[in-house]
Amino acid sequence: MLIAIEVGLLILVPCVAFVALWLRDLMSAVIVLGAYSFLMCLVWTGMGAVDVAFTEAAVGAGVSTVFFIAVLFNTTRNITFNPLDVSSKLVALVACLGFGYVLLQGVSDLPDWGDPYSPVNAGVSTYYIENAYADTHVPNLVTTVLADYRSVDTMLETTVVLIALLGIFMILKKDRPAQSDSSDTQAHDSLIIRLSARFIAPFIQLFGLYVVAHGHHSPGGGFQGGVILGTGLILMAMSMGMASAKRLLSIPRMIILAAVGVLIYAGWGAVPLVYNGYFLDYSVWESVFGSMARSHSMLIVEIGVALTVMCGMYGIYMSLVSDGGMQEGL
Amino acid sequence: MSSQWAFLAMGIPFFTALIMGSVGYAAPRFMRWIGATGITLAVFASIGLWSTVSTDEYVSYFFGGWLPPIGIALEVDRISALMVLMVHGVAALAYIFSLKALPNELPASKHPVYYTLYFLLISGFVALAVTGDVFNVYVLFEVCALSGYALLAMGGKKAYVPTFNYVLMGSLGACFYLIGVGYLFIKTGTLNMAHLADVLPTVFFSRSILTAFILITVGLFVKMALFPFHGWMPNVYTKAPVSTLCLMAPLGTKICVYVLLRVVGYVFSMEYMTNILAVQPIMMTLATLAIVVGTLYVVYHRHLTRIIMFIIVSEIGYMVGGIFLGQMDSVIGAVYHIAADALMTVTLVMVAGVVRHCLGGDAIADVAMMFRRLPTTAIAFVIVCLSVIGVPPMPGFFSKFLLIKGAFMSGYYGFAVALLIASLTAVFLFFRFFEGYFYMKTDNTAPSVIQEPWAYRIPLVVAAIGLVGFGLSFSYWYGFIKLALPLGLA
Repeated sequence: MLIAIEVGLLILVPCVAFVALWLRDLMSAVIVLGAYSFLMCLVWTGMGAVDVAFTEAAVGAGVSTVFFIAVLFNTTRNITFNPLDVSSKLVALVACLGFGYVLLQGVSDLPDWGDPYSPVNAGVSTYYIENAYADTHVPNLVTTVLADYRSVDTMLETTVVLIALLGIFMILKKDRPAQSDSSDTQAHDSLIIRLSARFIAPFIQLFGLYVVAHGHHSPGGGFQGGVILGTGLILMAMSMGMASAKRLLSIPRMIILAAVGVLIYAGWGAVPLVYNGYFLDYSVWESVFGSMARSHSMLIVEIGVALTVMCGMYGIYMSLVSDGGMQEGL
Repeated sequence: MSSQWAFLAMGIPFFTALIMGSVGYAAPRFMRWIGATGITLAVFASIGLWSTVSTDEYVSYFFGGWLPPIGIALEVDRISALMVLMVHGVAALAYIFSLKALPNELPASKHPVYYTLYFLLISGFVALAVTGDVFNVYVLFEVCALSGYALLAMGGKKAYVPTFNYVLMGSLGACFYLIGVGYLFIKTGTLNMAHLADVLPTVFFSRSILTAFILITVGLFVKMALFPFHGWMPNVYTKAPVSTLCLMAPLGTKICVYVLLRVVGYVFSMEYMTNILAVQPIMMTLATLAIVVGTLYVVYHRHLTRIIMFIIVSEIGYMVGGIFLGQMDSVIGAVYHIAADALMTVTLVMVAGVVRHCLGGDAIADVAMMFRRLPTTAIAFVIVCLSVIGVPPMPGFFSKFLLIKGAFMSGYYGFAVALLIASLTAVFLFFRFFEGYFYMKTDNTAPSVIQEPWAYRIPLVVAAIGLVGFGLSFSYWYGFIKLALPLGLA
């Protein structure tokens, strides 16, 4: 039964990818890419990587679709290309075939899928599975690896979100915003949308908070929760107009909060340096929190991650949709 | 605990960036002081790391207190310490330079964000030099690349399309590297470099490892702009603002060469490269071609910034060739040249920047005018030219000497010839600038001498003195690097 689903997915995923490439209308291609992300979610779930699936659903299918649409809103949804230009396509074809050949050559020698004696399953994973709960008192293994064993990577990935926000903001920022007196008019086009968005948004935010706080016990954590919190803000910005969204969270404050999020993470990790310990060594907190030191520390760094990601998603959306002017949006 | 220096070298610029991001909007006046404090402390940290490594040879730092392969470790040997010294030294020069250069290029409202990204980029480069984990390298590539894209795109509208090309190529390179690391992980179950080096010999003859090697090296070649993957580099760098260029051009490609040395020399081991795969001839051909092609373009172009970019293309060929020659002297030469070339490039870029800002262009005629109007810049330019050509007391001579020696020892005469041709071309090229000066038509209204602002003069003078000093202390560095060479070489 399961294998049938796997095979079905394996056929569907490339098909959907080809359809996304085939479509001339970029808006449809974006929607198809969203479907592609949902299929990938199923693939990850089938492999047992529920946290990855959750992230893919929140980021791949959710927020990045919104970003694409925001970009299309300011550019164009049609692509034109020269049908006679065959040479570049031939080069691309040869490059893709060569790359695919190399990848398949590499696959031929890999251990079987799910082989318990393969190096991956016999290597560091064994240590994580056997000792993670004893070390940290956190039931979700993925959170332990992310926020404790390989904590620096997560800190740097959060920094990457901050960099993306700052980069997009800096590139698109207009020095003197174009004066438009229609600041709030575009928001009032539909009562239904406005009311339903206002009704849904608190629930989205609440769910986001739950995902952040409950990342220790179930799939989720700072990244996913931050994205969900960010989508709540994006929804408000979409339905009520950018001016009222900016009243909720102004642009300078958003950038400061995003930097503060990483600062919470790195600052919490830097406390052990005072006691001549290693960076991000949460065990110095044992005098305060006892055996839950690592668990509580992970919650705090996840809050930092969520803050940065939330501001990142919101800020990237605001910059993209208004073409940097921060005046008018969807 | 002296190993704390290893973290501080990357941590200080990181925290500086975060503090800048948090207070930059509220109090833009303090940015300059925060930056100056941060870069000074970072230089101290790199000197501390250097002196620690000089006595202890090796420093390990375990994040979170988890020993590898469970956690992520920083592994600093003498080569990494030299790289950290190089990054912070160049970054300090570039920062001083940018204090004056940036206001000319960017409106003040963007400065807080710009400097936040600037320091994140510095911390990414340093972390790449000290990390001991192959996946961490990928994350750091992302940090460096994303902040680099944003900083390079600040050159205005004309910079957008080249930067977009760079985004595509850079993502492709990073993606190749990541897939290669994925294969390595599936085959070995570890991501730590030292542990990988222990485990890999048992699976040397696996096809997946071969694929991993190909993907990782090709990914790195794209990122370091080795010929034939260099297409993105000259365009994006010539359109970028000079203040970004001072940081990106010397360090962006060099640090990738360093990562290549780590991966090829320490993770896969020299033995795998020379004996099992026997890829040496292919790699040497690529390196030789890179030198030759870079040299040809250097002769062809007539703008200083663009000429510098193609000098970089051919210098990448020197270093990659030095690594793949697999001789003790050639690898020492390559490592020494990474640092020397970073210093040379930053000086050249600063000279080009001063000429562009003070004289309004960087064509050959403007550079010739520099000798008359900007004496300090002209002296720095002459010193760096001597080093690029390879005149004896300068660092360029020693690295070229070691590389040519290595080429003769392993029988790659073509590489040696390419190196000599590159030197001769450099002589030809720089004499073109001097010639422009001596045969310049002198109308009697002799243009007056311009005093460079202090923010231009200090880094230029320091860089020129640093170049001479780095060349004169060559024997010290030779012994310093020799002790950290990969197994099977020293």
